[in-house]
Amino acid sequence: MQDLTLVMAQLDPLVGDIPGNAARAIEAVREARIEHGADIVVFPELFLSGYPPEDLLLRPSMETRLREARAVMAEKVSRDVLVIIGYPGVREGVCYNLAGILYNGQWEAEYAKQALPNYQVFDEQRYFAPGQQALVYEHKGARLGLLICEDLWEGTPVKAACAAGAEVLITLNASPYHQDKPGERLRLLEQRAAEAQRPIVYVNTIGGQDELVFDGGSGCVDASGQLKVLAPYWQAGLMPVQFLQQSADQWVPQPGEIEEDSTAEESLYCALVTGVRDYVNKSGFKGVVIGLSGGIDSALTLAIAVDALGPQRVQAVMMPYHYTADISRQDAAEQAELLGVHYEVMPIEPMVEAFMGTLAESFEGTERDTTEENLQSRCRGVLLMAISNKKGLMVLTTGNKSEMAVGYATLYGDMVGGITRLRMSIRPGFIVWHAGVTANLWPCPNG
Amino acid sequence: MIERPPSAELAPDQQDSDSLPDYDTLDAILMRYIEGDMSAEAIIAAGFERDDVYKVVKLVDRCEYKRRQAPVGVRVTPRGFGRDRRYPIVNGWQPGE
Repeated sequence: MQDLTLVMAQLDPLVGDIPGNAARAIEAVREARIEHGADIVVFPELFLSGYPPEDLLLRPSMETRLREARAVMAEKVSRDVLVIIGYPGVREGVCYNLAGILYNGQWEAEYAKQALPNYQVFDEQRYFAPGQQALVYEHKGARLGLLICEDLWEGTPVKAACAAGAEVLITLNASPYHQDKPGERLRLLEQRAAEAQRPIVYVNTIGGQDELVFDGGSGCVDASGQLKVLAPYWQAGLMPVQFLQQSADQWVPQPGEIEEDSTAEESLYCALVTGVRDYVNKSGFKGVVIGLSGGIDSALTLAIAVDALGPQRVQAVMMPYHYTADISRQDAAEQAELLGVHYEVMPIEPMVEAFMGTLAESFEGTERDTTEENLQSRCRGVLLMAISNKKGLMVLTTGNKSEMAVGYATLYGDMVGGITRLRMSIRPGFIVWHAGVTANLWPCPNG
Repeated sequence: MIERPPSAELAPDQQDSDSLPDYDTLDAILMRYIEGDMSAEAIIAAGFERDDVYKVVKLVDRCEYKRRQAPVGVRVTPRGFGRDRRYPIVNGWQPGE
């Protein structure tokens, strides 16, 4: 009887930075070896390219860069440790979503994802051809069956891996967050393991990529479907799973760390913080500027920005006009002071009057309508973009999803900006109520 | 701040509910129309005012061009605007049934 230490590398690749992602992988394997005595290290789906690489996959140099990165990995990755990592690859003229196996300087085998999702945010059939067969690889007496993300949801490839003799199922994933997703994922894992009567190791990506956020939650369930190890959500890191060989073909994951359940509100808030933080940081902006109105949406945006980037990287601007209530001015100033951000007040009267003066002749005989309202919003947009230009700060847009749904927003006005934090949440009552006032309500691990 | 009725403060004594149904009704209709792909008539049959439903649905359909120009937002529902919901800007689809 022997044991086996598998380390789940729940890490955050940067899409398109292939040499950088390979360097991250090399370092992670070294750490997994030293800290945990890893026999096997498993990375997420498409780790070397990042997920989703989208049309970068159509660039001919994608394949060249991946081959170079994999050659560097073969040379530099620690010895005596099996590495399983995701990357795209062109094989005989066809592009696949692959999981490669690297051991002692040799790329030993590749598995091609069989189930390619093409719904919701996924369009993998635009890029990839499906793999046709299971891959089972034996390491230190354990027969490892490889699966990639949708393979597990779809189910057929799970059966194929078992039929091919897999004793332990290993899945590489890039499974993005949405509300209720962490629970759905755990239920699926438990169900599939119980059906297959095999333990399943599930390694997920972490971090934000454009509109997507990956929440992590890598884990391991035993052959009965019972959860044995669960890595933290919203936190990058290495998480070991110890397997004990109970009989010739039975590997049993030992109880390890299990992350505590977080509430739906905590998850949602962490998603917004992670999305904003990674969008700003990965794009190389110094920080963000927010137009603060004294209302609830901009207050929540400010709280998220401060949790994502820290108060020093957040600037707030109040841009009052005749219709701005005194209490709005007071509330905006109080929010900025409470969260410790740089705060300025820039009245827009002179700008609005200048525009109206220029337009007066053209508008003669017309009634006041939304034109005058939008003009105020656009004056604010111009100021925010000027601050953005001068100081290298991204404008963080404050609108919510309900407003964007019905168009209750002004083009070139309050819609200016690099990213909007609430665009995807239909004004979720609980988060507006709970998070609107102060930051740091929930500690987000990477916040 | 939390108790104050939402206002864009772009006109005297303006409140969001002057031009939109109140947020509870608005969000309930939006959830059904956007996240649930329900038709206007099906939403009315589920117990909402005809006027509210048609107002909201027409607003949603009319401003696809605006959403297409909007900044990227963090996706936290199964049907976010962006890669999740791809609609034509110019189209002759009638919301009805």
